[in-house]
Amino acid sequence: MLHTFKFSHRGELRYYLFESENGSLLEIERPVFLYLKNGNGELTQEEKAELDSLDGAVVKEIADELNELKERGIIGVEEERIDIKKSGFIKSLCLNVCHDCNLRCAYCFAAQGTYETENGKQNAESATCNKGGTAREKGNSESLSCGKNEREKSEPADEKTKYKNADEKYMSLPTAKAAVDFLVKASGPRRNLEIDFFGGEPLMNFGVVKAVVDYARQKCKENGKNIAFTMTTNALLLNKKTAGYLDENMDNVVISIDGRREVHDALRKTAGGAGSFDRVLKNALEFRDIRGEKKYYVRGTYTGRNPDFGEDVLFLNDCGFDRISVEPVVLPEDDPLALRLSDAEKIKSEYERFASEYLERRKTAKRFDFFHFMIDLDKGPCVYKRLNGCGAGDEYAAVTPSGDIYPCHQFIGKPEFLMGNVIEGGGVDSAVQEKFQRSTVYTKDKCGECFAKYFCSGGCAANSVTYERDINKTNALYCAVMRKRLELSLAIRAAEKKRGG
Amino acid sequence: MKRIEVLFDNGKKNDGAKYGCMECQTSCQSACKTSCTIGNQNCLQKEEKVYVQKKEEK
Ligand code: SF4
Ligand code: SF4
Repeated sequence: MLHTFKFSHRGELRYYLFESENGSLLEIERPVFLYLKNGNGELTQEEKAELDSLDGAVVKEIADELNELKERGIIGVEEERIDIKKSGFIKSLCLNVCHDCNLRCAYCFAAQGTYETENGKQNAESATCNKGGTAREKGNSESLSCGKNEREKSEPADEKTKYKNADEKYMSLPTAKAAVDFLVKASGPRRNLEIDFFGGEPLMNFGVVKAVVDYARQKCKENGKNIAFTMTTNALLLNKKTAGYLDENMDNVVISIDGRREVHDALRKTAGGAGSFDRVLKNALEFRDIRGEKKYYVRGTYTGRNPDFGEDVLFLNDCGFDRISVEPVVLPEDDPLALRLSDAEKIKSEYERFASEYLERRKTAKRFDFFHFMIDLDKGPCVYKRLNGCGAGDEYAAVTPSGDIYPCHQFIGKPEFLMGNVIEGGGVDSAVQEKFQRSTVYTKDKCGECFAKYFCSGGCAANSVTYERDINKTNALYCAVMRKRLELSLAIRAAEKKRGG
Repeated sequence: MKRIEVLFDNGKKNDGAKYGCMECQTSCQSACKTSCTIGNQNCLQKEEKVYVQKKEEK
C-alpha cells in the first residue's frame, strides 16, 4: 500500500512516498506528490489546477519513474497475507509485585496502584494506606503468608470468578516464585524470557524483587534459558542502594516523570497531596548518572491538560535525559483529563512542531532518542512480530500479587479476562488466550487498509477494550496519533539519512 | 531518476523478514507500554546478521 505525506522543517516542505508492504521510503517532488494524490482522488481544487498545469512531458516522466520503481519491486507491492499461528508460549511476564503506591497519580489506570475496579475489587480498605516502601524489604522470607492459604479462606464458589477477590497487595515470595515457575514452564521452547517488575510501585516490595531476580536466574540457568529484567518505577524510592541494585540487575529501567514541574505536580501527587517533582527529578538524574550507557527511559504521560506535551519532552531533555518516551493518557472520554477525538488535530500539530525541534537537537550535544520516533527501516522486527503486536494474552501476561494471571497489566481486575492463577496451577484459560491469539492486524476492523499496520501492529488491545469494548476494534484517536507518529518517524529517518546518519 | 529519490529500498528484503523466531522482546516490556513496533525494534538475531529463522527450522 502506498502512502504519501509531507513534513515541514525550518520552513522547508518535503514530500515522501512510503510503501507499507516492504518499508521502502522515497523522497518525491511536489508534482509526484500531486500526481499520486490525484490517483487517490485526494486533491483540493487548487492542487488539481496545479497538477493540470503541468507540462505533459513532466507527467510522462513521473509515470515512467513510478513504473520503473514498480518493476524493481520497490513500490506497488502486493500484500501477501501470512498465515500466522500464535504459539501460546508465554515468555514474558509483567510481575505486579505490589498493588500499592506511594503516589496518587490522577490518571493511573491501576486506580492509584490498587487496581481496584467495580468488577474486581482489591482490598479497598487498606489500598489507600502507604506501607512506607522499603519496610517491605523484609518481605523476602519464605515464611511470609502464602497467597494460597488466604485464597482458600475467601474463595467464592463461582468457578469463573474464583480468584478475583484476592486481597493481597504485596506479592509474597512464594507467589513470585510460583510465577517464575509458571513462566519457565509456559515458555515452552522459547529461550529468551523477560520479567518486568511493575506495580503499584515495585520498589515498595524491593525485598521480593531481589529474591525473585535470584530465583529466576537460577531457574532459567537450570532450564537453559536467558532472562532479562525490567523495572517501571516512579523513582521516589530510588536511593544509593536501590539505584545501585537496579543498575546492576535490570536490563532496562523505566522511570515515570511527566515533564515540567507544573505538569508533573498537577497529577503525580503523594498520598498527602504534595507534588513529587523535586524528589523524582533528583532521584532520576542520580540514576541516569550511574546508569551510563546502559538502557533506561524516562517516561511521561500527557493528558488533556498539556496539549503542548512537546515542551515536556524538550524539558526532560534539557534536564539531561537522552532517552525519553511520552504517551497519551488512556482514560474514558468523560474523564476531565481524557484526550478526545476533537483533540486529534492539536495533538498531531504538536508532534509535528516537536519533531522539527527534535531533528535539530539530534545534531547537537543535546541529541536524544524519543521512543516513538525511533524507526529502523533496514531491519526492524520480523513480520511475525509486526502482525502479532504486543503479544498480550498470548506470549505476554501479567501476574497480580495474589498470583492471578491476566493478558496484560491493563486487563487486571477485569474478571472476564482472568486467565488463571500461578499458585493454583492448571495453566491458563484457553478461551481467553484464544481470543487474544485470534486477534492480529488482520482481524482488527480498520488495520487491513492502514499504511501504519506493520509498525503499529494493530494497536493496544487494552486501549481497544477501554474505548471500544472489543479487542478487535480500533480507536480513531489512537489511530490518528499513531499514523502521525509514523509519518514523522519516517520523515526524521529520511532527513537523517540525507545528513549521512 | 529525476523526481524521485529512493532513500530506503526494501524491495528485496521483504522475503527475508517473514519468519521470525519470536525470541525478541515483547512490545509492552519496552519504554512506552503500548504495542507499536516503532521504537521497539530489537531483533535479537540482528547482531549476528541472521535476520530470520527459516520456516522449516521453526
Ligand atoms: S490500530 Fe489504527 S493505526 Fe494501528 S494499524 Fe490499525 S488502523 Fe492503523
Ligand atoms: S494490550 Fe496494550 S497495554 Fe496490554 S500489553 Fe498490549 S500494548 Fe501493552
